[in-house]
Amino acid sequence: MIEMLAVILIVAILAGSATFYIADTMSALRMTMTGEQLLSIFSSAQQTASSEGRVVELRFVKYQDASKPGSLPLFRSVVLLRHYQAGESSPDPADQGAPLTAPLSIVSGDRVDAASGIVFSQDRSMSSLLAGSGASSTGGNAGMVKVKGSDGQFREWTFPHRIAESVSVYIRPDGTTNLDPSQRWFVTALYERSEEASDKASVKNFYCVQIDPANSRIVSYRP
Amino acid sequence: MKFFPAFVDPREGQYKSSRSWVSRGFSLVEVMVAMAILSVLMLIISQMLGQMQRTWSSSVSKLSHFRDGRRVFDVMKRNLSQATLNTYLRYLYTAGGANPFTPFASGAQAAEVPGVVPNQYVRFSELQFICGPSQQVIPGARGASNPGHALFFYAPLGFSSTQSHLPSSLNGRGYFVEFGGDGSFRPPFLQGRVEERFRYRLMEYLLPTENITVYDNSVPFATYLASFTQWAEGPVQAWSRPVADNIVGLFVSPKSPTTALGGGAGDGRSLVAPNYFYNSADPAFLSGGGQPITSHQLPPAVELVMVVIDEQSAVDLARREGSGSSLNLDSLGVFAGNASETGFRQDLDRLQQFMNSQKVNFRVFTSTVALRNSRWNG
Repeated sequence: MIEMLAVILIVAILAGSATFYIADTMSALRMTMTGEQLLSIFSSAQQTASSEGRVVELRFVKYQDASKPGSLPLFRSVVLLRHYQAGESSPDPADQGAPLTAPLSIVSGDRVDAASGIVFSQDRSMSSLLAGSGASSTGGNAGMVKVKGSDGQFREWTFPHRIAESVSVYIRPDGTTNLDPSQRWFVTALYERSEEASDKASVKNFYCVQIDPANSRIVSYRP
Repeated sequence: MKFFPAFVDPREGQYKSSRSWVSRGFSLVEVMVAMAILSVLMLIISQMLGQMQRTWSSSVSKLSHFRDGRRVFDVMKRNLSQATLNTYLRYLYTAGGANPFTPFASGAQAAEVPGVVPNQYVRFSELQFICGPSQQVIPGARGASNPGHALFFYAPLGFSSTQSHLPSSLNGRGYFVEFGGDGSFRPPFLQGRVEERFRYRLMEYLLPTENITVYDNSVPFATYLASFTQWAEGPVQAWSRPVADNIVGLFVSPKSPTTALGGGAGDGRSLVAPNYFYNSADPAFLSGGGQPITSHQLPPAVELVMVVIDEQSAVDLARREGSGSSLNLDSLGVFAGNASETGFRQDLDRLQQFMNSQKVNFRVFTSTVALRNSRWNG
């Protein structure tokens, strides 16, 4: 009996300390994954704009996490949209190449959702892009947004959550953006608890992506 | 070894060792052997995993940085191909006035100088195309921090920081390599949280349309003469921003497909840009001696050479060298001195050999860009 108790005690201590480290490692892994996805969607937008010669939009969406009642509406997703202007051939096969009568945006690739417990900061010091200081909806495409379904048909795009706010960055084929070239523009993924805390100086783990407003150079930073 | 007598198991009717009747654990030796084998296995597995991770990181690093390098190289080629000078013919007046382009005396009360008459037509442009060693081209170049060559020109690229929908407005554009930290252009909140990165970077000079000053006719002629020996629209650093990291070298060689230029001896490189230096606005001809063929003309073509290393190599270099500018290609002495077709190819080979000897992952991009606005008839 004593031997069993001793063994159980040792196993419990080991499991306890392992859980602590594993949880830490898992949340760091989630941060890395979200950051890499953010970097990838910026990179994809830059390449699409350059290779297809069209304006591409990165739309950051702010909403409440439906799985956590009472959670704050925060920026949790990014969507990449290709812009088509009125007069261009419609990308929808159903239109048989007819020219568009109004601007159209097509959702491109999969939406990037921040992993559970991670958000894109809207604090001015950590995310100038999302702090409501100029990245918003200037120079965009006010037309309809469509998405290509798994059956190949285009249908109107709807976001699965109630959108509280969205902020867009437009990348043009020549690499310029809708952002003020005299400012530095960046967005930072961080833990939701860090976003809710008022003291951002103590944030230890984050993933920051910076975009140059004049040539769309993209750089990532990680502590 | 202890001997255990054999007997018959009454339940199974078989002979068994009497040792099997007692509950037997593992001996210390057995446990130690098992642990040793387990440790060796874990060591091998961890080493294999580490190696796999290093290979993966290295591949990703190479791919992403060479992709960045290729992207900026394409952008540079596209912008350079649109370079323009808008050259026109104008009078050159006989000596007498302070400015040989006008018959009027300088000063507020400008009056025509008696006896000054048009002497000849010359090609002229307020714009400039200049390339060559960075120290010669960039006003206020930062010594070893600006290795290789620099290239500056004007093109209708439609960049303005105050206006939109000006798709073909004129801009100054330039490219050069600079070594330094990223403290001045990264997000301010990273200070003290992420170590400053010291890298070679390709810098892009973007002069917005509204900031072009070359058409300002209030600039005294003496100032004009002095400023056009280098890129005239400064300060260069104030209008420049990084466009790609880990670009360790940029070399520019203007050339002509023809070798029969004004009857001179040499080839398409040495006659167009001896010493790899080309300045379309060089005012030296105003002192006499006739207008050279390169004056106020774009070269017909420019060959670009760009050397890129991957991020992992850059990290290793930074670890070895700290904030000092290592891997300075100027020390190699390539693409300097007399330019020639043979010399260019030899320098390219030397550059490749040098980079191989540095044990870094690198790629050399080369391309010849035809300048479509060139009206070269040499």
